[in-house]
Amino acid sequence: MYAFTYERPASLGQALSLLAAGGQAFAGGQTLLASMKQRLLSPEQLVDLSALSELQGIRQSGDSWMVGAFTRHQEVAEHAGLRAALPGLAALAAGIGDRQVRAMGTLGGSVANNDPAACYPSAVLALGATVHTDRRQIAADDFFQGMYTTALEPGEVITAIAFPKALRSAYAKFKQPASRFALAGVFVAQTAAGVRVAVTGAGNGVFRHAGLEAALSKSFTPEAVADVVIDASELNADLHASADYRAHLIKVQTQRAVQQALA
Amino acid sequence: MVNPTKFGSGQAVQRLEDAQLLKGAGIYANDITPDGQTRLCFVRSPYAHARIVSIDTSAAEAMPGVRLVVTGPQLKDAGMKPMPRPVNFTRADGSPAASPDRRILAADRVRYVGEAVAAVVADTEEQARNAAEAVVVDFEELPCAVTFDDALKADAPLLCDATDNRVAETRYGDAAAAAKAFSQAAHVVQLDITNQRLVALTIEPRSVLVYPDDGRLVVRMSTQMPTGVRTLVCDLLGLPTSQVRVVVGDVGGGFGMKTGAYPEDLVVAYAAHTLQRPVKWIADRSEDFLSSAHGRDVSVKAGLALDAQGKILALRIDTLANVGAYPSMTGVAIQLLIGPWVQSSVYDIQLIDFHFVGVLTNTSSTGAYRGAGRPEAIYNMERLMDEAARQSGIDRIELRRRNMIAPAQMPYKNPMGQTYDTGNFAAIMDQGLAQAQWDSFAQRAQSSAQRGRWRGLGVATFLEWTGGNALEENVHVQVLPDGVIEVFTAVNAMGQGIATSLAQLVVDVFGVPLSQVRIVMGDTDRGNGFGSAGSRSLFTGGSAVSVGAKQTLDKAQELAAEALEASSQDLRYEQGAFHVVGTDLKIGLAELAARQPEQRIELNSTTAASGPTWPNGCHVCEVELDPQTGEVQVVSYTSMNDVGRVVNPIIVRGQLDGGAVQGIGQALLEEVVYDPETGQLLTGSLMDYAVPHADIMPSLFDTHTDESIPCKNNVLGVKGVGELGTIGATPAVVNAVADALARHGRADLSPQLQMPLTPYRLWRLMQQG
Amino acid sequence: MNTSMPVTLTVNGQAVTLEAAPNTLLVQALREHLKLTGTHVGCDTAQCGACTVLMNGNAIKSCNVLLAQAQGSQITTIEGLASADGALHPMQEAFKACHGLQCGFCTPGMVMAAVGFCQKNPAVDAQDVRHALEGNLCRCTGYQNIVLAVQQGAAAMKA
Repeated sequence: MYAFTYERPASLGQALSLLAAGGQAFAGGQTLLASMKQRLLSPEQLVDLSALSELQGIRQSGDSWMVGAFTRHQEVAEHAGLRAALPGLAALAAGIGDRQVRAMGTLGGSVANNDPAACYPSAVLALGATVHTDRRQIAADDFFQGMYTTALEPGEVITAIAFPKALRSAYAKFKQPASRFALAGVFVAQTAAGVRVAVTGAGNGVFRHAGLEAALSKSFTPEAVADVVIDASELNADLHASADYRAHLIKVQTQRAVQQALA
Repeated sequence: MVNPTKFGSGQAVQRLEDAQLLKGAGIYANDITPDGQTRLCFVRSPYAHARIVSIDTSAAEAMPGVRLVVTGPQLKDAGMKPMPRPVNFTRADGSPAASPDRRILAADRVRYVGEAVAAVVADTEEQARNAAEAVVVDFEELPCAVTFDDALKADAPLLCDATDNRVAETRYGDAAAAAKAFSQAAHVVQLDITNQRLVALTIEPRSVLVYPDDGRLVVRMSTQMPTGVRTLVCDLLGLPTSQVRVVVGDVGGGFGMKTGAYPEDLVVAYAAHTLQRPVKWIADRSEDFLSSAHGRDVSVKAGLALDAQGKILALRIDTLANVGAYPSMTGVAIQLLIGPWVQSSVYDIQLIDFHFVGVLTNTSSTGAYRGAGRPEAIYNMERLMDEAARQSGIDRIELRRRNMIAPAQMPYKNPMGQTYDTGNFAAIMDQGLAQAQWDSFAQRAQSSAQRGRWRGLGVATFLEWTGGNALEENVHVQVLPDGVIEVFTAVNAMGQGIATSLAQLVVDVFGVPLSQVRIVMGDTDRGNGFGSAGSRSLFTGGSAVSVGAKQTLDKAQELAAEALEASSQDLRYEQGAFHVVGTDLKIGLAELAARQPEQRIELNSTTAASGPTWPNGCHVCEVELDPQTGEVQVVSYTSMNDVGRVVNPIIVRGQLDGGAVQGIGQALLEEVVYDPETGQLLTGSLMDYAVPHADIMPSLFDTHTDESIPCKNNVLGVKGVGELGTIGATPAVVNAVADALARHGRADLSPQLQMPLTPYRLWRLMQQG
Repeated sequence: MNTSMPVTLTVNGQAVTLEAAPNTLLVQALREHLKLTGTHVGCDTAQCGACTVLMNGNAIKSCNVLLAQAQGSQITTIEGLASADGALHPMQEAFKACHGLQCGFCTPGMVMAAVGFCQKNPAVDAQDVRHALEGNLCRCTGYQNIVLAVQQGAAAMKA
């Protein structure tokens, strides 16, 4: 890695000053450090958010679960309340990377980075979560804006994400065999208002699929999506999968997510 | 064997190596940091083919901590020789093998992405990396040839001063007679087979530390062949062998990738010699992906001609072997000679038509990787056999049985002139099938079907050749005054537990506790030899240890007779001491050693095996295919293996199973991919190169050995085992996938199956028709 | 810019304060500053797990964690498993008994990952173990004996 300075502010206010001055927000480091070791990124200052109590904690808040931005994946995976209320979210967290990654990586870090093959964005989008930052609240539908791009302004920090409760939720990920990131990961959430379906790994960023949502809102069964057409034209093609294959996997993974949700 | 004891051969002895390794006390090359150590970083080409116009090192030289910046042009101008070229092979017209000079740093041209053109030595790794980034290389990009088609077309960019990119060719057999047999055959099978390029992925990357010591150069390296490294260092630096010592500590995996020395290793030696300081280079994982020797990479047109009863009439193999931009002797020999030796495998085939061509491309060099030519050959043969079964309607086991060489035919000379000493292939097959519960597959298939999975059953019956073509080994045995029996041998540890197996052989002879035996390896000051490769360490090294130990015991007996003033015939040896029969007189080994003028009893001994070994096996694999996604999982893997006598059964099974998982990796996951246009390495990290993780199989291996057919070519009766698992796995798995497809009406797809059978590739194939 | 800063942590039960540049990875601090070379580096994408150590009881990849992130933490490396008199930890014993290692390079990371997992999950079946070790690559053993070793080690740890 190139050289940098390192700060671990004790308060959110201090952190925001450092970030406003150009510091790089640093959470679990599982993605950032990997890029820095390859010398693809060279931030001059890392601002470690681990000491900020404002970013910690998991609690119920009305009809939602508020998960602090600095919550490690393994905490979400093991949290009894989340496992009961939002099993899809807890299971998603339990499947990110491996145990070592889950001990360090955080919800906020993953969501702020918005890797097109990361798992969490699909949960945030499908559950219609609200991203709380130091200065405002952003609806999931407005938050994700393309590959590695979000609605966050420079220096803006996610403090927590509010996940509304759902009747049923599940996540089914088909892994790219080498990286084990999602080749196609589908999060399905059923609420009183209907069904939301969010897809990660297959396109330039997480996206909802209207056809799948409509079919599942009518009938929350795997068979219901059998005739839904998944347009491959906007999907990724690479060494590991063509756009057609990703389109096919989206449907299969949707069916498997629904099966899990019903189980 | 004399004196079978609890720790002698045949026993499942826990490894001597393990306590230290488990405590983190292993000493790998990167674990030693001499005072004043510097670190070396390479500047590598971003182009697959380019002329080096100029290199500006002025900025780099001025950076903090930098001790040396050296470039390829500088070394060439200073008279540095290129690396040795493949010899002993010829092109089709009889002219010598044609390949470009490989310089330790590229001087005029670069020929693959990642080829090193300059090196920086600095006090810290970070400083070296920073300075390497400041070296400015002016390249003039040239057209590149990455695929076989592009390398062989009429106007292909040429990699050396020859009329085309064919390094060398070999032909074997009788093309005309074979053609006749094919034209008259009742059944003809043709398959296009790709055996894809792989990386060895030793978890310890290439690692080398060179430092001056008392006027000499010491090379501490992760290598399988210290003597070969010393030879090359001396050759290129112009030093006498007495001035260079190569020491090998613990090696974190070799698999053939760490045989021989790389250009990078020579650069490190040059830098250390020039600076008279310790210089260390530890390859990044990405460097190992770019520039370590890759494995396999052949494109084959295979044909089998059979009569109406399924008896094989002729075998035709036409292979293009991608040897990379700078072929090595090993890389060429593997494909043009060694693989062909076992191509006809366990079958009685005498009419062959083989043609092998080594092709230069703008890619990294290929070399030995677990199996080294034999996996390619056996994969060809076993795919052909299953395809022949499908085409002819003859059961695939029956087809094999009809063609297998019988024990009565041993010793059997195959059409490549190789003589199998012994083997009972049908018996091994029958045992393997029984262990695998071959006949009750249908029930298991049904339970898979209930979970929406297509189950397939695959078999591979095969043999392989071991020895690395180096059948001799030396040992130096010493009985020391503290009672320790120390044996130096020039074979090399790389995880295969050879020290334990050799120690067990010493225990066989001396009957002392294992803790009193010390096996020493990996030091060119102590002894020299071929090293470890081609599954040779036990049958060559072990034979030498066993013979040397016995000779030493005989010598000790003579010395004991003198010491006890008795006749040697009146002495009896038992567990560490000589007794005069019928008396109380005795003398222990330690005391006897202490009494000698040199304070030890020692002996040098050389033993040669009389031929290679021919281990063989029957591997049976069951897979489940998910038709919705194309995903394949191996759900059971059973094998019966003939590795002759077994010295340590747990080590043997570990080699078979570990080797098999590498084969499963090739069958389902792994592939080195270059961009066909630009020659960029697309699979340059573990993010894109998929390998088996712990969840590769949900079940355990069921691995067996039959010791009733000892090898006749060495005193131990053992056969090499290190590569056998890898060789059997790729055909067993792919045949199982073909079987799964065939059972669901898609036998039409089996000829098109190509490794790796990733979910995407299989799904895409299944969309046809 | 790369001036060093102090980090205080406990490694294998011993408190240490290290002065190191901020861009020092935990694995570099362990290997180069503390000379604990049992923790190995096998890749550059934090996927092989050879560098696994325990941080506050959790298995983490020390090549993908800054020394600075370990401020105030308890680190256990492979060197910290055996007891003071040299007796192997039950997990180490199990690996030895089950032939769970060959070249040994992935082994320290594998053992630490196993210990970390089994400390939190006393009852483990083979599938649990395979899933728990997804972040640790082995090229030699094919994982078979590792799975057996971890199950045996888990049982011994419980006893």
